[in-house]
Amino acid sequence: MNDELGKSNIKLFFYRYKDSPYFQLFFIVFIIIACSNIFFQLVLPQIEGWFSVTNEVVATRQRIDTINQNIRFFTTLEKQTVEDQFEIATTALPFEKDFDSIIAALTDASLQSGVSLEDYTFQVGEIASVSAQKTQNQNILPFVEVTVLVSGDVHGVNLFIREMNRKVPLAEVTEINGDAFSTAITVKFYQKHFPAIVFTDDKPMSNISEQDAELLTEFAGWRHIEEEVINVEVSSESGSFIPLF
Amino acid sequence: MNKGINLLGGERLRTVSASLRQIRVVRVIALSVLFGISGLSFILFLLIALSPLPILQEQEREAKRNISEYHTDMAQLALITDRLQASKQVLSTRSDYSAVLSQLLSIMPSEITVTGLVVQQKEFTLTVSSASLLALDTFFTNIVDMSKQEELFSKTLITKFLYNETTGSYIATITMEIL
Repeated sequence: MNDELGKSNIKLFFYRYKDSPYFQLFFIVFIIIACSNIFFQLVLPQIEGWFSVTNEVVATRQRIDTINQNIRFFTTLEKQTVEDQFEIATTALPFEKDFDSIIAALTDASLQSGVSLEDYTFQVGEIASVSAQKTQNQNILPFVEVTVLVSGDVHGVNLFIREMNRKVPLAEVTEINGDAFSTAITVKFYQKHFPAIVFTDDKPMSNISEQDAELLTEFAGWRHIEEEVINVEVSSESGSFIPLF
Repeated sequence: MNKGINLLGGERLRTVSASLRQIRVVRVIALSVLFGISGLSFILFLLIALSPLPILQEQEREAKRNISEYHTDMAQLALITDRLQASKQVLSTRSDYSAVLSQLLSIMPSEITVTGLVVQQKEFTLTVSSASLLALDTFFTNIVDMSKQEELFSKTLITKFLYNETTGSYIATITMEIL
């Protein structure tokens, strides 16, 4: 009953005002409101979307270009050189405590400086994971501290310290305490734990700089040289002799 | 109906019809705007739908698949760079006591012998002995001259100076703070 009344009322209003200026005004206001709604609800988000799509297209093209450049870079990269550089770099700063290299460095330094080593004292420190957690935020490298007793005069000790600065794993002489005959030298051998590697394919890759390559060459020269077996040729002049029998 | 018959309402009707015309014009403009906005929305829809983004995204996935073969090399390079950065840090911050000691030994007269050497946290303590007081004096003068020429030490002190009757030699202890 109410619905019927409502409909007839609407019809009545329509036929009464359809030719009047009020109806036209109402129609225009309705269109303006519809236009604003369409503009704000539909067109503006579409414009934003279009801009974001355009930006994403540009960014994606750049990423693809960078990835392709990286692929080209890696195809031309000499794998053997990289592996050699990796080996040198990890010898300079090993991932873990490398006692073999430490002892080799100390022995080499003593041989090259002409001093003799008496005792080693290794202060190993905390286990790797604990020290890694501690040093991760502090920008301080973990290390193995070694105190070594060197027999020799001050010139020999000086040469030993100098040689220790030219050895890998990278070391730092932190304490020296000695007299005219023997000296206790404390050396820190640094290491660096395995970092978290995040592959960023779309980041331009480049080879190491010339300075870094020079540094690696320097480190290569500081490495422990395996003892060469010197075959001393025993000269014998017996060949010139005439055998008796 | 002839408008001229109504002598009173003719002017009013003319005004009404003029305003109706204006309203119609405004209505046409409003409708045009409505259609314009709808058209713009449709064009934008087409632009978004026909963008090359899906093709580019597929190309990117393909390129990433291709570069994944080189992840070992990438990791090696990253590790080399990481090691080198840390190595540079060590090389730049570590103290070179050898250089300081070499400098001191180079200015030390041959009559002087080093009987003690203690280095701890940038503090360099050198104990020297000599039978010649002149040699010791020369050594001290040389240290002063060297300190003036090169900025090696921030502070130089003669902390001990004594004469040992049994050995007949003068003993001096010099403490220096390395820069």
